[in-house]
Amino acid sequence: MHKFLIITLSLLALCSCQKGPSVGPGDEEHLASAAESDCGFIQNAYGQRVSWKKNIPVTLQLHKDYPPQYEDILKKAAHHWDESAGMTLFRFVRTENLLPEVAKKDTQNTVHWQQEWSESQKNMQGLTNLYWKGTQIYESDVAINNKYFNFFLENPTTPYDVHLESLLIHELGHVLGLKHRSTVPSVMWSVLNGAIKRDTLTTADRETIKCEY
Amino acid sequence: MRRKTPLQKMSRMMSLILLLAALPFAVTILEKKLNPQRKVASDQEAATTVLAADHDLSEASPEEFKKAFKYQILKEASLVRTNTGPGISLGLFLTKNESGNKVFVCDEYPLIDLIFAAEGVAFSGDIPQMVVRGPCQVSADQRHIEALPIPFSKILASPLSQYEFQSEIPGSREKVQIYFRNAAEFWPLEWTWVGVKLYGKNPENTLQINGYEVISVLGEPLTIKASATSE
Repeated sequence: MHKFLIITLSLLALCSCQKGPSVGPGDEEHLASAAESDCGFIQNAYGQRVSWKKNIPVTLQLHKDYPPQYEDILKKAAHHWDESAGMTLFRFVRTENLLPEVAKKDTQNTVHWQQEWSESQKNMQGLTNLYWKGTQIYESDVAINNKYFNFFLENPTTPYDVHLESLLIHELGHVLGLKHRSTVPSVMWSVLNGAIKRDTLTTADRETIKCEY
Repeated sequence: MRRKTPLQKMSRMMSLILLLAALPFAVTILEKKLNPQRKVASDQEAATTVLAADHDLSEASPEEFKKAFKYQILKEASLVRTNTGPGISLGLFLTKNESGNKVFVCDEYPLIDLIFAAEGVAFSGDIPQMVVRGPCQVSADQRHIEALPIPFSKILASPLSQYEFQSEIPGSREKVQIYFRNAAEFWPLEWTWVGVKLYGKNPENTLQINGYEVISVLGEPLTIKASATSE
């Protein structure tokens, strides 16, 4: 009887404890713990940087329409990133493989020189598609807009001409997993005005690339 | 039969006194906990009492509320399929209005944004984004915020130049707006839920949850697969 009374009393005391709102597991800091610093890179849903990791150099196949006279400019653009990372990040090959006329997801990394371009995106000088799983990039395709833009190597003939090397440095940055930057001087600024050269990697660009390569 | 010592007798007496003293309080508290529906004072209050005590954040301190609302919204979040398309139903909770009355969160925060990011794809460094904006509407079971359907069959059949779409909550005339950003080359087919934003009657007053918080409560990202056929 005595024990029964004590148990009953304890149960009543337990029931009468006022229950506060359920705040869930962990604390505020724990909630965002998966995120790492972006360091200029695209991040996945967990906030982890995506890159090619150890799968470098990235081999990009040149579409047959890519002008042979501009191959050296492409290699020169890649060299800026190689030199900054202290390793070879890109390889380019002219392929006999039949590539689609426009850049598309097909497990091949490609560089297209496109005469076909959507009117709704006519302001885009180039477009780089990037695909990843987890933190690993597995495909990238670069398309240069040859329908709505003219390009120059040394001196522009009109104020609207785009400096090809600057554009290619920028697009190859996207191939590596870099996103646009706006707060620091960078080749990854989203806008490249006509007749402007932006062909030198800044301190920020050099520091960025070392986060993953 | 064993004879009780004086100490045992005293202990028994003390227990009895304690029990008798605690009984009225315990009965009152149990009454409140087990029969909350007896407290009906108005329709609003009647509706709000359906929610269990752990959904009631009306008495939470500002510090508690800051985290508790996220947990309440996320712990019962689930993918819902409707004829129009998939959507995400969220957990509902009670809060306090300016007059100090207990109300549903939707009464104080009538507009809601669900933010999604395309999974595993970026166009020129930008991950496509989708924002689904609609009314914060209490579901029929009064335990959830109604899902806002995403009309993927309509979206996938449209050109990329169209970046704004509309749908409706089933059985309601309330409109849902769907906005896209950075979808440059094709419509991505997998969308990961990366945030929620509830707008107060004063739109500057917002409640926000980010993608990492979604993952930490659900255990993994919630991804919606877009399909060209109706759900």
